[in-house]
Amino acid sequence: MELYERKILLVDDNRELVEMIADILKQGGYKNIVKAGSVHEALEVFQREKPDMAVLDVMLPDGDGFRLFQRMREQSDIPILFLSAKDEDRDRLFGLGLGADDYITKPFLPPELVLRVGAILKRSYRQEEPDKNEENCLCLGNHEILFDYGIVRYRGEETPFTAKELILLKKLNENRGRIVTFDALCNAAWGDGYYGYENTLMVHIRHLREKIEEDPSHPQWLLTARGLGYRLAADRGGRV
Amino acid sequence: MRSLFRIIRRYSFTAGAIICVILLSNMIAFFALGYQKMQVSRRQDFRRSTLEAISDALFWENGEWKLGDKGIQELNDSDLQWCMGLDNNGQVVWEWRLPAHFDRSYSNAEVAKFSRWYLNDYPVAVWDTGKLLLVVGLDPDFFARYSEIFPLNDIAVIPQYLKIIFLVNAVVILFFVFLLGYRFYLALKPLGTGVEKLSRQEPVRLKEKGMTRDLALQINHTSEILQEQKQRLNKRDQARTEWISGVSHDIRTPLALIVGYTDRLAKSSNLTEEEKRITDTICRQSQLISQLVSDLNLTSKLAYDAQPLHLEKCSPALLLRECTADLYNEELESENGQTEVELDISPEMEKAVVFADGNLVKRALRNLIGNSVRHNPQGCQIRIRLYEKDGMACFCITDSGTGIPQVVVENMDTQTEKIHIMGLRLARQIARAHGGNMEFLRRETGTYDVGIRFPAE
Repeated sequence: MELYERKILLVDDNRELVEMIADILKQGGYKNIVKAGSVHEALEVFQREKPDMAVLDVMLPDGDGFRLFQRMREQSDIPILFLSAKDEDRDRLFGLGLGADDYITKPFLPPELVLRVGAILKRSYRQEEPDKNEENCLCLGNHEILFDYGIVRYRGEETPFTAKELILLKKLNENRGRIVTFDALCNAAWGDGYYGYENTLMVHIRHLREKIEEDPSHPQWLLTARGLGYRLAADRGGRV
Repeated sequence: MRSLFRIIRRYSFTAGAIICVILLSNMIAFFALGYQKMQVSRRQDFRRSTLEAISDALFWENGEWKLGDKGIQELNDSDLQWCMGLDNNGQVVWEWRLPAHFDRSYSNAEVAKFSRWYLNDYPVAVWDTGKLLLVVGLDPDFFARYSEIFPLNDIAVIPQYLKIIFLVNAVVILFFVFLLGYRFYLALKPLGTGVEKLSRQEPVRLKEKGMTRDLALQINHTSEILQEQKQRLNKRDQARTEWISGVSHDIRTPLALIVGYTDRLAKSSNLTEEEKRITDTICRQSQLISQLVSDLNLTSKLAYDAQPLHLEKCSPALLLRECTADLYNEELESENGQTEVELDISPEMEKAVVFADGNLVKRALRNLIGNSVRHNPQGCQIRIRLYEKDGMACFCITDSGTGIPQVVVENMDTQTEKIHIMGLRLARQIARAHGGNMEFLRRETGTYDVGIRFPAE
């Protein structure tokens, strides 16, 4: 099933907000959206429609979203995202602690919601369809990166990545378009207590650039954010 | 509790000292009195001076014993009642005022008896002049005669007895001093604990009995008042925090709608330049409201201790990078890329650790950096220096823009309606909650940069 055909259940007691989120997601390409305004209604819709993903408000007129989350999880393992007006760390941690896939606080930027929904769907349904190698393939200009094989294909020539390079590239790709700090990259590659690996990180990045950039000394894709970390440039094509 | 022990110790010392002082003063008084008596009795010493004088003045003339004028004078001046001289045979050969009913002849046995005792109820003193035995009668109303024989052993052990008595007394006194002191301590101990608890605002319930009953009663009463006040304050603070939390919660959903739809409007292609500028402004200002609302919420929670700090070891360098990266990531999304942030992290700070609530530290930094971004819409260079000073991790935020105006710095501690300095206040509040602080650094232009510091491990 195409990612954009996944069915998304929206639950919020504010009808206008539900409509708006539905609009935003439709603009983002998601066509299959069902809505509910209460816990009761949500469970009904959930049984009937069997959605592939749910976006839940925490405060609902007849109960709270955390409870609803647990009821849904008893029946299905679909990814669930909380969209709540409660901005306290405590609530966010509680929601994530229950096993939610993400927690967004209101107000949110529409593109952010679309990005997060996309990321969650990608993460959740990629394993189910390994034959769809589109998901595990990243095209950077003329370089085609096949994560499953750990190689980059350029003009018919295949170059393998080292394990660390692959981890770093995956981490950057997961946060594509956003700066990933040295700390996050080192942590991904070497775990905690990574202090002192920054120079090693630079070496790995240089090797990565040699493999994925047309001109490694003037990188187009793997960009340096001075003093902060690195960023994998977003695709000019619009889709992230 | 140590102060209580000090009180008891002082009390014991004082009690011991009082006893010692009384004993000493009694002894001094006793000796002084004895000494004075000795002086007085020496003055009336008839035995030696009077008897010697009489003995010297007695002479043998014309077959009888006579007393010279000097002797008579001496006798008249003395308190002696009568006087007589016995020869070797016990015959009275000379007499002075000797009552008529007295015998004029005494056997050896009689002499031996009265010399140690009384003669016809008169205490008697005897003096051997060499030729006569001089016998004087003393005033029975003033003098008593006592003669006893002591075994030498008994007299020899007296100093030892004195020592033992003194020792036993001292032990008994000390025992009672400490016993009473200890009982005093036991009685005061609950009170001490109570006052200590009171100072920590904990509820106190003491037993109201014994010598400290009144004090216990008052402490219990004070505790009740304090608890009641604390509860009332807590209730009020909680109500206020909940109210702010509720408002900030309720405001978020409408804000989400505004932000969402404005974003869509801004993206629609058929807007004029003017309309696009307007929608952009609405978008930015809605974000600002959202920021203010969450600042307000956090501020009230920090102020009333409703927000516990999740303290953990975190790296200030990491927090700063994350915070800056977040800012960049969001700025990039809102397509406002003219502002650049430069980090200057000292090498020792890369390894440094602060014990802090990482999210709150980021929030504080975010507010301070956000101010530089927001107040310089034309874009600016922001430089953040992270260095160690006096065991603190210091973040110093400078920018090439306008800087923080004097009026803001002046109004940090006053209640004004300038709500836009809430972000700064919140940053300072977060720093203070961690035991750090925030300071303003004056530029040459008269505006300020800001520095914030957190205690490092």
